[in-house]
Amino acid sequence: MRRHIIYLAIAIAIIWIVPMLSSYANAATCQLTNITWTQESAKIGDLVKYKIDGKNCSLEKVHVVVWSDHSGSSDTREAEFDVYFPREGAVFISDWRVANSNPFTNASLYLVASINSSGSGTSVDSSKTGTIKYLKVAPVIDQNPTVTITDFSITPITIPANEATRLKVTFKAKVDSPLYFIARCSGVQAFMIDGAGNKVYTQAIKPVSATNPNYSFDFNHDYTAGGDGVVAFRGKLECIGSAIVVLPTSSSVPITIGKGGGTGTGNTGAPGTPGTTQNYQFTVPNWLKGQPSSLTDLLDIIAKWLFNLAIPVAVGLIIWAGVLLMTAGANPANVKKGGAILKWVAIGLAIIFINKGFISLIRSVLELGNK
Amino acid sequence: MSLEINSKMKNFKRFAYIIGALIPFIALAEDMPEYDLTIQNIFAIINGLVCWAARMSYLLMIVMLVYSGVMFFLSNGEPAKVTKAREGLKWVAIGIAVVLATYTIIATVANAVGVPDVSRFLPLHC
Repeated sequence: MRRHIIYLAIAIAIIWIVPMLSSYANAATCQLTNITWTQESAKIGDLVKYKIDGKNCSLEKVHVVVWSDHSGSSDTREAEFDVYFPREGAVFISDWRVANSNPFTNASLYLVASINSSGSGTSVDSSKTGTIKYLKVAPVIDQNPTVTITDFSITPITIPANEATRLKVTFKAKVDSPLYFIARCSGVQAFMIDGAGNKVYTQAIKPVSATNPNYSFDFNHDYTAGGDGVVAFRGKLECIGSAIVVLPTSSSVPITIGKGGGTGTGNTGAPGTPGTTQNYQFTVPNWLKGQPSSLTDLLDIIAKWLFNLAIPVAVGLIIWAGVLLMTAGANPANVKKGGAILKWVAIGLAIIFINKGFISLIRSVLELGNK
Repeated sequence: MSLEINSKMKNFKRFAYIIGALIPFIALAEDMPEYDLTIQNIFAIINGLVCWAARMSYLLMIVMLVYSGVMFFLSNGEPAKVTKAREGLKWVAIGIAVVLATYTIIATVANAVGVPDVSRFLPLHC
């Protein structure tokens, strides 16, 4: 018996090793023939595809360098990475996230791929042989960031007159493209201004993030109120940086001080007439999703819900039953358990599949009483 | 194959270990993107878990087949062990049939109670 196992092991070893050896024997030297971009221009942060052609390059490691072309002066490396050819070894397509070390100028990027051996066909250059030789990257400075104030609110909205009150201010802003924002502003500063445009509160400068589009400037401010009246506050953002970006000011939030503002005189009114009874109609919006208007509609929705849930659960249970049976061996407890699961899944499924049938069944039984 | 997992205390301990291992990830949660979890996502999550379980069971099929083969090897021709191995193989075969016939079982039940269009929800999109 042991001899049989050894023979089997040897047979398996031969079956595995022979193709491996033959693939090594067949391996000719890899030759790169071409490298090219697949598009002409891109923005920073885009994914762009490039394509490398080669011969006999199955699973070969290729070193790819992205160069930035500075006609006249020496070119600079933008990125370097190693990629591996697929098993077929003829064409390799992959993508690269565009980066530019100098985001304020135009850049022409080209690719150089090389393999770690000497001789011809070991290096290809997209600026020489590529069908699309250069990838043009526009400077980010040409792109204007849009900043919106998503939230500016103050609590409390009524404060007592002639004393200091703590105002809790929620101030949030969102940038459409963080990368364009950071290219122009190194920092961003938040202010709270009153109706006359005076800065009531100034917050420390926050650094601009290259990735996070959301900014939060929440703060507490002790505001000393004057006499009764209304003061309107607004949130204002300013850009700290080399380039000027006009950042928005929020719409105004009125805060009532004391009894509020406004004085006036008026004539004494005529005596009022007694009121009459009026009807007022109102509707409550249906907040249930799917707008069910009757109990049957609601049951329909619940049935649909159960149905959607039941199918994957049933599949899972049947698989579990199968697994129990598989691993049962000669253990009758598991066999019984697997069989029971199968039976009850089938019964449960039948009930859920019938769902609407039950409604019409009950209805038809009830209608029997009317005959 | 018979692991002692019946004791509730042991189960609880295992759960505690898993949670303990996850604690570093809880600290990372601040950097994670926000997801809008709707009821539809729950369907998709269950669906994904079931797909995962299906793949695992396909793996288990092969493992169990090999295991029962090994049992035949090790029986060394002793009648008692051969019977045991044969019994094991029988149930492995039945288990495989059940796992592979999952959708057939559901479709059969659906057909029996008169659901018109089974292809609307079967098979699951994995």
